Amino acid sequence: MALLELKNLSIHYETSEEIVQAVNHVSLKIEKGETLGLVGETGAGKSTTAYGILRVLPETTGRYKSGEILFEGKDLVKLPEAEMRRIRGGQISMIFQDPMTALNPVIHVVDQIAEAIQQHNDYSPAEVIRRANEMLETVGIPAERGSEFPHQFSGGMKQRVVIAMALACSPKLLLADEPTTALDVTIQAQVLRLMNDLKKKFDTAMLLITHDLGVVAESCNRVAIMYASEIVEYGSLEDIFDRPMHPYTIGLFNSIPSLEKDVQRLTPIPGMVPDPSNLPEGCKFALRCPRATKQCGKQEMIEAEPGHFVRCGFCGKEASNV
Amino acid sequence: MTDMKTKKSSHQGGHGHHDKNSPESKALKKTNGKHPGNNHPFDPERRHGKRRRKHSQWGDVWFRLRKNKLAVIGMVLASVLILLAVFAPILTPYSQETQDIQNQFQMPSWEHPLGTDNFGRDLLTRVLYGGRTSLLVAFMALMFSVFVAIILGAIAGYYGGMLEMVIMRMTDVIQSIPPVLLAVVVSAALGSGVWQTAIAVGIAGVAPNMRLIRGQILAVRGEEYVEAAVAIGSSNIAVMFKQILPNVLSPLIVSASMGIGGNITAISGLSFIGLGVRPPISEWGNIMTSGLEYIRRFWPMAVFPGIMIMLTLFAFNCFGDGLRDALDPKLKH
Amino acid sequence: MSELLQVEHLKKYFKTPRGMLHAVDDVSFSIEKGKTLGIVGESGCGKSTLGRTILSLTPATDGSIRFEGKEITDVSKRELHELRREMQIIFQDPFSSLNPRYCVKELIADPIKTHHLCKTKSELDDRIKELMDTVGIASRLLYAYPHELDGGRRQRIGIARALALNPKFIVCDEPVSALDVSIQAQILNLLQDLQEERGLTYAFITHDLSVVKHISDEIMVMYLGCVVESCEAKGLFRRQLHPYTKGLLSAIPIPNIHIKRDQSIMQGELASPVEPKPGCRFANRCPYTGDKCFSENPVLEEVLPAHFAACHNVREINGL
Repeated sequence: MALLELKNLSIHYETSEEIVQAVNHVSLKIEKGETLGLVGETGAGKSTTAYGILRVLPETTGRYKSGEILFEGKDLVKLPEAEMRRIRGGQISMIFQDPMTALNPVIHVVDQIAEAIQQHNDYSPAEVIRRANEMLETVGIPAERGSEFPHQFSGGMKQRVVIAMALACSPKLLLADEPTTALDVTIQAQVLRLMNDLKKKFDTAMLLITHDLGVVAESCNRVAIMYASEIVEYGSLEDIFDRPMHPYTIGLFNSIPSLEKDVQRLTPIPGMVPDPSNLPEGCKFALRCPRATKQCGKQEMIEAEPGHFVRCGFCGKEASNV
Repeated sequence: MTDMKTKKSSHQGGHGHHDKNSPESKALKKTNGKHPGNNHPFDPERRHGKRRRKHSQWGDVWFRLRKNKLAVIGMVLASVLILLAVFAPILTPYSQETQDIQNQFQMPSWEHPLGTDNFGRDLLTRVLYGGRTSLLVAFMALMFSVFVAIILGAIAGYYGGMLEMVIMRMTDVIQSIPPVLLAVVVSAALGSGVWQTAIAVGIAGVAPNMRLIRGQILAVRGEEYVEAAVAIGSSNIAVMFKQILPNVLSPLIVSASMGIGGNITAISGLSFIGLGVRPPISEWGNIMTSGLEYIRRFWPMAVFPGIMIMLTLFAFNCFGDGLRDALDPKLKH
Repeated sequence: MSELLQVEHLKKYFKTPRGMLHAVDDVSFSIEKGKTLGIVGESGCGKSTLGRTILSLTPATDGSIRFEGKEITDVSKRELHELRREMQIIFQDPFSSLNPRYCVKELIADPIKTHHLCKTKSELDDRIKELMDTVGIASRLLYAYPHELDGGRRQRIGIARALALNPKFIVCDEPVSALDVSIQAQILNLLQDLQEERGLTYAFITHDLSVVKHISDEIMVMYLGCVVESCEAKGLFRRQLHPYTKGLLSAIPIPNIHIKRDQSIMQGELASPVEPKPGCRFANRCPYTGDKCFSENPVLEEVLPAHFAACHNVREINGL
């Protein structure tokens, strides 16, 4: 049984003026200890998927329209809040994009980690602090700095603190929402390596949300590409990087300026992401797709090769040009 | 401490209606990534096929304001009060001075809907004219405070330095005096009368408004679009008027509309105690002064002006509150 | 003379309560007409400050900037106003660099009106439409407001504004960093096309080495206010001399699962730019330090033909 399985999950934001279909019929699996990269651009619905798993959608507008979120077999959508709270932080944790706002500015960092430990365990206060300090050391921050405040740390170190908080209770699943996007590239390298090391040490599975295919290449086992609320391609790292099939995936790879190749002109994907409150019927990528025809209506996921799924009628029939 | 990129997250979201078979979509395939802008079907204008209304900032504000019932009530009531004040001479056949001692202390009747006062003058007329004065002086006081506040706030906020320090410290001194006391002192010094009262009440409003403006200017000054304006060669004055002030006015407008209520109370209060505006010019406060004497056997003189003050306060406060909510962009989503 | 811009020993310091912040410290370079200089570095390196100082958006503390041979650090207000027509800037954040109260038409008209470039209203309208076409904004969006448009379109407005005065030189301050990947490519292509069509000269500031490789002729790497390496664009990627550049390149994750990059990850954090200690700014993170590194600040010198680096041990490290 997979650690986490999303089955046909749909999440909408409903306001009095409009309905935003943030996530539509998303299905994916994460096995124990595995890292799944969820790739997409802004507005694709990646963050909503993560918030949905953790059940921290905005109360007034977030709605689960269909589907299940099976964590170790239990459907999280139907779980009572009290049980969900035990899972949050204890078995499933989240790291957010901006370390500046994820930390409470008036609480010592060690206390913020301690709070996470205390919520899910029955240790004595002394034991809690000892474990919190241990976590600090594990993420590469000397324990003496535990009594400092967030503003005294640099961005990279703040993110380390956030990682410490997230891993303090050895969760089974870590949701990381663009954890290094806001960091400088040299610091990003440090933090990514830290995350990979800790992942192995704690045997934590991870859902890594990012738009950076380079980060995916370094850290993930499987990849899901998301576009306009749907998963359009899903497979192992090799499947996606060596044999991308969906025109959007191919377009993404082609539009990134590369360090190795010398190109005169980039080939961007023409057009723009559709408005999530006004998504087209049928294939949502059709308008920007170089291959689309009048027949491109609603698409189902096709298994083009074992374990490699694509949401496109053309794929599986011919090889793509990368 | 500074290894964060200066990158900020982008919020992408096209707009528009999908039409697979439109000529635009076919044209799009030909553009192949070169300047796709002109043939693109994803346009805000084409939403649902209709031309979208011009979504200016003020248009959005008006739209949100209209949805707030209390604010609409306040707006309507305030407009009614203002209209009553403006058209007072037409609305009543009486003049506010005509005395008719025979008819003093008449209770409300068809000829005198609010009754008559101690000199037999029609009370409704006096209250309407009184409203004229009260509202006029309140607005004058507002104009005065806002005008001075903008000048001082702009200088302090934009130029800074020694000038700012002097202005701020002077304001500190003035603000340390309780506003009521300040108004009383200035009113006593200047004497009674319309413009004198306006200044007396207005002075107390300068300090908080000035701080508001200065704060806003400091916030806006650092915005990148101000830097962008400098980069294309705008002069200091142009930057101040075209870039900074339009973005600074919102909180000021809220403060002003709430302030009218306070001004009216202050003016009436001053007139009530004999400063401010004195008879024979009627003003709600001074009508109440005379009415106080006779309150036990003839309540209309004290009560009706009081009700008017209450209604005015209510109207402008509701409107101001609604305006503040409508102007707050964060409440939108 | 083919050099449009020459900067020599430029310094920009800021006064802070803790002392002088050396944002730009003794930077010298030049850009030839029609070429692009990529200025690369992470946050705190001073590249944005450098861009703004070149344009006199903030006054230089010391040093010289010559535009078309003429010194511009001490020009009069009037001359500066004229200069604005020649030297423009595209900002990073298409959100905050456009005044939210003005529509597209007003935003593009602004620079034109400020310099009185059009005599009649119809001339102005034509010019605005022309600019919108050039940068690829649908003419239907003439009266749209910034908050109604996505990042890519907003950035196009920013580009239109920069072009409105027909400048010769444009500082592009991280113009695509805030945009989605697929839109980045569109904007980069646009900037390249414009350069070819109009013979524009760019100073392209970015932290993204892959972008800068693609668009630059020459690249300059900055660290904590100083230039640590500079050479021809493609050459930098074939061979790096300075330890920081090496580390920077090896830190970039590559979207290719068959290439394993050099795993030596740069340790440590940026030193403080306030009252910097004597010696090389990179010394605290450098794996190759020697004695001199902590006492003497290295000078930019030509180590290989047209390839400059500022490092005491550059020859030993690279086996030269």
